[in-house]
Amino acid sequence: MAQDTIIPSPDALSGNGMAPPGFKDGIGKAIEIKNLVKQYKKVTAVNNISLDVYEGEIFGFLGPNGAGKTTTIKTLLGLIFPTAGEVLVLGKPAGDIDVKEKLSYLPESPYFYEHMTASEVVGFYGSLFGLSGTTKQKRVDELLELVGLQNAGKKSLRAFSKGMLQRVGIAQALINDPKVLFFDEPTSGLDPVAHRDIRDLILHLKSEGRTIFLSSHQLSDVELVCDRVSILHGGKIRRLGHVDELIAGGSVEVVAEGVKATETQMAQLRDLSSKSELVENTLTITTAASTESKNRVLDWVRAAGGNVLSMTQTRRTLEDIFYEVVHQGELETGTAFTVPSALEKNSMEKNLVEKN
Amino acid sequence: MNTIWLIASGTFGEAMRRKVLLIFLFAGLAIILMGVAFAGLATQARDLTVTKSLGLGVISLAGVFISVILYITLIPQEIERRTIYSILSKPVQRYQFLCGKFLGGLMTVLLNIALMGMVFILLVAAKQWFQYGLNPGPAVLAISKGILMIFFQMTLLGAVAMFFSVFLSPFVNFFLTFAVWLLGNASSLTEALADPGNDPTHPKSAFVVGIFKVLHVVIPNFANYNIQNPIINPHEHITNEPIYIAWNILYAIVYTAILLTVGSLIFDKREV
Repeated sequence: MAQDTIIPSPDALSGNGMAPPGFKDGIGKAIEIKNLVKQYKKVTAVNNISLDVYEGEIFGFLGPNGAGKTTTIKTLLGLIFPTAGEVLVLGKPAGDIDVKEKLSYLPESPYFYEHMTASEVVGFYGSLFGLSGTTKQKRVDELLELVGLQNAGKKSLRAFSKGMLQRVGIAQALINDPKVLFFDEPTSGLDPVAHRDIRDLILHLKSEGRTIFLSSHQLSDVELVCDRVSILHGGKIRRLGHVDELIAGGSVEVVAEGVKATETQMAQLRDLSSKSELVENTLTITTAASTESKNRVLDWVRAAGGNVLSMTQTRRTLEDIFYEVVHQGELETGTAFTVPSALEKNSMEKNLVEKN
Repeated sequence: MNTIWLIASGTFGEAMRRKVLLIFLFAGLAIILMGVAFAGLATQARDLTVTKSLGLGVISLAGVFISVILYITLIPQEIERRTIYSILSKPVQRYQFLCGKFLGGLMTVLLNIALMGMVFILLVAAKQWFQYGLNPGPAVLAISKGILMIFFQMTLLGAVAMFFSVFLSPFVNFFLTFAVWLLGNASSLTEALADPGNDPTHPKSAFVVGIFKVLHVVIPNFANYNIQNPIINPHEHITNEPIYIAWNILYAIVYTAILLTVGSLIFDKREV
């Protein structure tokens, strides 16, 4: 696969003017992070990151373990304080009590008081927002139904599976009808059905106009539900943009036969393609997926007297981008695995063939 | 106040199910029962002295363990289990969280002491009435006062443990709180050591005297809450007993309020 690295401009990395597709200019910012630095003694957990999250969008916050995701989320919730920089949620400093009325947080693998029932736990969090009486109970029942726990509301949490606890976590996170939701690994450890239910719920929440700040390692989910994503590594934002933009690119593989190219034409081909391989009478050419590149390769095949047998486009995934970013970061910091993965081995072998 | 009460009730429900605390409660109850049963082997006067002494001592000691173990873990456990994140991300001020945790802990300590106290009072009253034909009223009243003082001693001890738990690990906090409790129980000793004295042949170091003066003033005077002697020994009395008790209760409340206020200020700046 061609490695079309997207190098974001400093403006892009700061998130300025990058409203998600379908969003009008001037739309409100739900979250603003400006030059955030978080230092723990000698360790810089978050290193000067800036980004904006717009109202009504699902923003994917990605990165390997230790990248600084949870630190950033905790800063946004006012649980920890920035070493430098500014963090605003709904236009007010993180931790502001008025802002807390309008946001919610689902921590990874949430734990609740086990002596309570699901209904009591959700009600407990509702009471923290001042809900009481029948209003509270009605809201609790609605939410338990939304997360599929309407028949388990009276059961003690001690008897709950991880998936059921996660559903309770989501119900408590929605009790205040929040404008901004912070989800930290909402599908971690869930079975495929629960996983899909929660993914659908996130999309449902977006359709209601809520802003969702989603931290997850489930890259396929992120790719499906998020408008924009950022990828962190080593406390820095390495990629930031619309999902479609990030995964755009990829490559095209053109297979042709009967090519009789001159020395000059072969030299031209090296400039046009990222890879070319001749096996017997069949030439396989790999080039960037842009229309211009494709047309130039097709023109070259015709000029060399060949016939195009097939043309296949390979699409990049968020996982490819994520891996690329993390690997690049690991190489920079010298923390890369020394044992190559099967994928890498395959890639290395291919490269050797190309060079030979 | 509603938020503090909500957090307190959640804490109480969770704490009452903690096995380690139930062990101390049941061990305390078992020793009280055995003490009442076996003390009957001695003479009447000796029997009642041993029963009261053992009972109050056990309630006090079980109270210390329940209070310390509970309070040193209340905040760290919330952080470890991450419940603190979902609570503090709601419109809850940190002082409300801290006060709620303290109140929930206090309710737990109160219930444990009350359970042991009630069993103890019933047994002593039954022994006085049925075994020796004595009016149990005065003994019950005296023991109730003793238990009340134990409760306020535990309130103070809990506040110390909670204060340290805001910035110390449970392990360090355990030893530090116990050290404070021991020093607070030896207030007559710290008072004597804080006295510069007027013996020119044995001059005291001004530094050491200064340290003990600070310790004597800063460390709560737990010894004032031990009123077992007048309860056990009918010949000993506390001068102006109601004022003494009221003054020490007020001392516990004020000291606890100061510790919670300073603790809240520190907790407000703490990263969780």
